[in-house]
Amino acid sequence: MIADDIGVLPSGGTRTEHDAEFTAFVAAAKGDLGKTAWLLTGDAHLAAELVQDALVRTYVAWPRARQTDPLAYARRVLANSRIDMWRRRRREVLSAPASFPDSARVDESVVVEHRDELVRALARLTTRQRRVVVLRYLVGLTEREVAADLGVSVGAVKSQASRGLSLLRMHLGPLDDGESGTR
Amino acid sequence: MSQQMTPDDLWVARLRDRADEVTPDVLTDVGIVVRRGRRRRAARRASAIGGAAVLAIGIALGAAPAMRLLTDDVRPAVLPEDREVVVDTTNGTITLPLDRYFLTETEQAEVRHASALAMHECAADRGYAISDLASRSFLTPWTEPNPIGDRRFGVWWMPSAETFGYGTSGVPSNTYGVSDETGGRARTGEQRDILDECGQTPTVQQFWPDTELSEHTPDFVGLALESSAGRAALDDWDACLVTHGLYRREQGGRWDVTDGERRSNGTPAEYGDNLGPASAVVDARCKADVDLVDRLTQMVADRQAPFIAAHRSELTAIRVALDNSLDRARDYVDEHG
Repeated sequence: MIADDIGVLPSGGTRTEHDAEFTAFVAAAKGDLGKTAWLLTGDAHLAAELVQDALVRTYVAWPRARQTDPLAYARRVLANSRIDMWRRRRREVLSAPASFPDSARVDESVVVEHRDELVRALARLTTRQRRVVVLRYLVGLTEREVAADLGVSVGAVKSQASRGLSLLRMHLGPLDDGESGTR
Repeated sequence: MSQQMTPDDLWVARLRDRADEVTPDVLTDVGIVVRRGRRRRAARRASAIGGAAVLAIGIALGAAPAMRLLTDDVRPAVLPEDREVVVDTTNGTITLPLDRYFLTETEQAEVRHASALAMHECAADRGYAISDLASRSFLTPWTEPNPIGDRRFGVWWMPSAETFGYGTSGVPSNTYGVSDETGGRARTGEQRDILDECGQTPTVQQFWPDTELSEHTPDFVGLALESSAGRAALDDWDACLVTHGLYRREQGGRWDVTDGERRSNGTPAEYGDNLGPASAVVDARCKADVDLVDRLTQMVADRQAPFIAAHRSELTAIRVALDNSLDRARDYVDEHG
């Protein structure tokens, strides 16, 4: 019987080599993926689960993903996840024991307020608009890259991005310090 | 900053800075990822080896001509039930072909209930009580049918339109999964640790089998709506709405309707509340008049059929895993509920 950690993968290279490579990739990519997931979901716990799931799928496809752009692969999996289904399915894990103190400390109140505004504003976009706005403006991809990630036309990205951005701007206002949006 | 930047660019730059400031830490455990990835890859490999073994046995038994037929025809067979849709106007449910491989809403509620009991007990073992409404609601068994009905095609079921309109006001929302008030609530690291720990226990995990397919599931409803037949169905619905002073507001979502001021969802504050039940009833009647739900669900089913045929073994395995989790959930509730 072959030991689990020295199995040879069909595409060449030992499992340990691939695991080491994958682990290094995760260390470099987890910040970007975590931010994208949070912007798509508005919840850190759900985002952590989405990132984990996207990374598991990237691991399974690693021989293929590593040959091109593994970050783009993982981001594509993440952006196309059925977030609504996850939200319904795993909501109970988001529960909070009453005995815990409120985490919104006074010195973090502005951050909490801004975070709340952003979460609420993003939640007003349709799922598709939100995906496009997050990838195009907050992750900073080109229209062509967003279209490839989401499997839609560049024209669709342009229109969704334009509508989404104008809605987001309406809800968030000028974004100057101390000013808030229309809601 | 560059002087070439437009006001839009400047605002986007500020937005990006704001997002950087407020993005919370999102925890990633690479050890868990690698372990889950190995298990999933091993399962795939076992499945592939099983398929190869069947092929080898078939050839050994002299079934080569038949096997050649199997291998030559690259398109897997679509069965009649792969295109079968059930629109239940008594209970407001829609069963699309792919839905049959997943749990119904009521079954999902049973699993959530068992999982919530296990989470509650796990937290209690650590000296904490889960108290927020969303989680507590799952501790109450869901015995009544969902009064809102299926809304994947907007408001179409008349009892739901008459009672709730476009919203879900008056529904015990958390129980029926129509509200997510806890979604954005900040939590301490300690809270997350306890919840993570409990969520990863075998007692809780037994209710949540892996249901990921090897291929991303397309947005079948979206594909149907983008087709010429789908657009024609939407146009018919819109034409009916217009005769009642309403029209589609596409930028607000697939099923958003407006009278020019108020909307079915997200009416600007200066215009007051969203459109009420009377408009929802008109909307549902228009959908019935043009057979919108029947037409669209069949278009969706026709698109799901080849996908199901191509992933039948995976989907069947998922259904078995979900049935097992449902059995475990029922046993757990019997013992702990």
